Amino acid sequence: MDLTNLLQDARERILAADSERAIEEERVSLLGKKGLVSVQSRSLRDLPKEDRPNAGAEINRVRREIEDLLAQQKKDLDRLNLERELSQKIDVTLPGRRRHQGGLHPITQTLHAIERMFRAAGYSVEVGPEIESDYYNFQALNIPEHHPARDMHDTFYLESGEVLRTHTSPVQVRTMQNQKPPIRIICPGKVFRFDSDRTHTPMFHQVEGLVVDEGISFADLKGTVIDFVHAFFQRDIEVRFRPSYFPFTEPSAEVDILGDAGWSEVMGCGVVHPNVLEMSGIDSSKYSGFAFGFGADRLAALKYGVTDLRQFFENDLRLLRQLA
Amino acid sequence: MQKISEKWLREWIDPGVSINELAEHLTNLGLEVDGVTRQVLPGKGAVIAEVTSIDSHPNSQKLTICKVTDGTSNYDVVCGAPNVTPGLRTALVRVGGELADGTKIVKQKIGGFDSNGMLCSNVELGYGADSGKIVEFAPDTALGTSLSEVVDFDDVVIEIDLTPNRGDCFSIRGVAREVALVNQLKFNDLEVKPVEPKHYDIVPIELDDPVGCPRYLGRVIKRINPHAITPEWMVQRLISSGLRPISPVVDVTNYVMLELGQPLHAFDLELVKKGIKVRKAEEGETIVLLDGREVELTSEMLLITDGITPVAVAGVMGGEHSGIQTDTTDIFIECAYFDPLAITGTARTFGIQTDASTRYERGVDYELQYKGMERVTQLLLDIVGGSPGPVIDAFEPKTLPQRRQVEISFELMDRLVGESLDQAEVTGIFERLGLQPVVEEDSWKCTVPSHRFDISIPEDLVEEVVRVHGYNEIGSKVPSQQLNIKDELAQIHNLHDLKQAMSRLGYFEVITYSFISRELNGMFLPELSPLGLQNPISEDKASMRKSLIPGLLGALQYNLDRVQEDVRLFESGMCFRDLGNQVEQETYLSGVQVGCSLPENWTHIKNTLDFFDVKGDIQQFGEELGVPLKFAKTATTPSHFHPGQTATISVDGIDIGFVGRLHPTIEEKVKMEAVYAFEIAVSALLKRRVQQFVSFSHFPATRRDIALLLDEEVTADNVEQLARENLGSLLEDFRIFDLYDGEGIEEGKKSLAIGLTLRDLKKTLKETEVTEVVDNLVHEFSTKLGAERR
Repeated sequence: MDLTNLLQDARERILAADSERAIEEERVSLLGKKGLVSVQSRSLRDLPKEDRPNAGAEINRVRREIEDLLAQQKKDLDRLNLERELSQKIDVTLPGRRRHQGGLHPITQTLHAIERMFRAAGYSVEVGPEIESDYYNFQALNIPEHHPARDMHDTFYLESGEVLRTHTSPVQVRTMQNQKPPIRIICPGKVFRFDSDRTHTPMFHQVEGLVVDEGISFADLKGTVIDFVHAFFQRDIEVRFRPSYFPFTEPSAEVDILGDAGWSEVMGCGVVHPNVLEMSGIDSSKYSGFAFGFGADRLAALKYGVTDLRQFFENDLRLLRQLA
Repeated sequence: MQKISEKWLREWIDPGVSINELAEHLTNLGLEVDGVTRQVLPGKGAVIAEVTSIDSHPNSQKLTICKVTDGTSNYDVVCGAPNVTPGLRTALVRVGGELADGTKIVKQKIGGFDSNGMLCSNVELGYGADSGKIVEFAPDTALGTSLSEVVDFDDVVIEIDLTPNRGDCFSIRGVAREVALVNQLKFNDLEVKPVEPKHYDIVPIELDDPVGCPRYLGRVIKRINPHAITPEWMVQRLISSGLRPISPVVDVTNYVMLELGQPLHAFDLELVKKGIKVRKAEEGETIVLLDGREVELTSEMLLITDGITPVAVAGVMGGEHSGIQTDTTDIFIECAYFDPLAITGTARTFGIQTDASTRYERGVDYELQYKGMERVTQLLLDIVGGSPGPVIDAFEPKTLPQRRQVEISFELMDRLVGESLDQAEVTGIFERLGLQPVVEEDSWKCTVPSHRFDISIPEDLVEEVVRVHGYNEIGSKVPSQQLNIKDELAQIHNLHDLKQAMSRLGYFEVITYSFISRELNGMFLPELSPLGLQNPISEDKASMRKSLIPGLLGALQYNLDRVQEDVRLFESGMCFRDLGNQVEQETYLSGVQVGCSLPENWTHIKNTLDFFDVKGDIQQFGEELGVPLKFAKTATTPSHFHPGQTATISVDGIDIGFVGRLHPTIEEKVKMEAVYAFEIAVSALLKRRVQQFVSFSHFPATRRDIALLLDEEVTADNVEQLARENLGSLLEDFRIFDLYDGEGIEEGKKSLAIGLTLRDLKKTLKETEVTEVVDNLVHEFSTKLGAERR
């Protein structure tokens, strides 16, 4: 076959190769060891010596041309493939494949945020039992039997005579019995009181704090409470303290914050009563302390704009999803 | 709730500030004002009307048929009052209106005659105590005017939520003292002159329990007018203070109690004329109270007796027949000081709080009795007349409280306040509080006045100073601290980590009540007796949950009722189990779910939940926490789980919970199907494990798949265990990729396809070695599990 025909034939075959594999087959059959071009190369030996350089150069030219053709065909094929791939379109507005959504209860989130704030300030988190003895819930907190302050608590009694704790203060007592000052703790947990309306649920979550050390004062209490309120609501909300009464603190205070609807009560607090320190084995002439307690549910309600506290325990997924 | 009439208070002391300022002052002093409300006449629709003519009633001598006009319309009204006369201007409540007690006036026939309204007494209208007559107004009172414009109630009620320590403020006198204090005004106490006795009849008084009753004053008043009525001004003050008028003598004793804070009781003299003996009750003794209830007494309760028989429970309530009858003319007045401890338990035991017990429990001024007795006598003489006897004073000086001395050092004051207050200011505050401060070298010595029961230790003086100085005037700072390094979270997995893991697995956290109905509680762990409440708030919150599942099912039901699908909920909280000798209070983490394993989507068909979805969740939960959870066929499934579709969860060989389908009987009771649940005691999960690194092989791995024909009874776990024992460290991964028991498989058999990834730590495994170990394993499967290779 003469080279011109060979090249013509090769060009047609290469252009007809429609896959990478076909191109490779053509490359082998044209340029491979047994390929047509190699056959031509070997036939050089049959030519007279003086003709060989020209003929060799001619064969090489054809070889390069074929190589270029193969490369070009591969390039064209790649481009075609890419175009074909790019032409495949989907409706990206169809919803994605998802797993079920989950979320934490808003009160849990609130408690966690509160714990984080106090931990960052060096407080530890302590917990305790929800069924309590009369001693820890009342007596050790300077509330003897028949004390009128028991009326403030609306206590649930078990048939066994034990109580459902009305506050998390028993945890403070247990901590003071087991730790030496300095004590800096918060005690989050469920508490129970016989009350149910928009602003009260028979079970709610309280966080109490206790600091006992040398030189702890009413001013320390005020600063701590104000800092906490500002941190919790993420703005410098106005805070008011007014005198109140708790048997376990003296002086005692209620804390109000100023909202759109006027003052609302968020917390009770005070300087720890010396009887409470002494009953737990802490020398009240050396140490003093402050304590505060608040309903996390109420703070969560204020923060999230929930107006009926009972909704927190209905567990409607429409509420849980919104606040997750 | 203490109700204070503004008018009455300002009569005692008027600081010249608005009612809102006054309320703010009180709140800032610790007397929390809960409300300031205008006192309005009760009832509706009363207007001034004139009786134009009257006719006698043919069938009744008492009734009169009246023609009445309100200036616009005329009305026929039947009236029974004796003072109805033509030309009288009185109050008419027309049809559609209401009396003070809420009675609606309707058109009706009285004695056969139409009555289109009612002419009323001031009792019916709610501002007086004269029930015998219809009210009379001046002839120039404009007809048709609303009664509330004519009867000047014009008062404002300040509602104070009094804390238990401030018994001294259970009176106008006490609140007035605080108003004087904050406004730096002089407090003028009520001056009461002793009443001269007109006779010398006495009732002997014996104090058998001088600790409970250190002082008991009595006085006999004879020949009072049983037909007297309480004056309107007094009725209105009682009403503003939240009391109803009863009878002149009771009204006067109540009035003095509201005014001074001293409870009083008036006995029919006939009942106690032999003598009064104040003693402790005998165990089991009974008394019928004024409200008609018979109560059993205990030996701690203090009684007023006529010498033998109880006539009143001291400081709480009179006995049934002790009170004044309508025809009583001779009375005996009690004005006593009872020790708070002698009274406190009693009222609560009976489940009642009276105005007297509320005051005695918190402490009545122990120097107030003479003033109270003279004040009540004076008012009684003014209103019901009569002849007073001398004050009979039974008194035990040894047990009557003494004025306490309390001392506080300057240093302690500064230390507890947190800043140094001006000493002169502090002294001034003590003076205004009546604490008679004596300034010593480094302290104040105070003498506590008899009305302040709550001041007994130095800290109480701190509170007094700070509240008068102003809580909000004290500076604020924060405690300084030693910066000890500690990482409490390194020791334990915070419960919060567990909750977040559940949330990531697509469960919503719920919080349900820790108490549930007894019936529901009985369905779960029935072998444990439930812990019931003595005083549940409702039947559905009557006993402490033993499991979280019932509460979760309630939340599940609530949401399914509101057309939520694929509900997946979890809760963590304490459960309460009565183990006989102790009550276990353990924190659990539980969850329930119904619906499909993936949210409905166009890419796949609905895939209804099964056991392996919820087990997979728990497996992933364990992996996230780094806790090696193990699952096993349960030997003892709690009765609320399906016995054939539930696994025990364990960690380090300790069973911590269950995962599976709920028992069909539970599902039926809660009317739900295919509820999958888990229940885990979390304490074993809270220990954080420090993982130790194990080095891995750098040589290539080989995978071999084997299909085994097994008896149905052989579990996947049996196969895995055997593979692991047999292959040891060579086995890098074991997985099950197919389970088949359909066509082509003999009944009672199943085909299990397993994938083994093998890798040696020290060399590349040769093909022959792999074949040998796999053949060896297949042989083991055959001999130990009866398996055939397919």
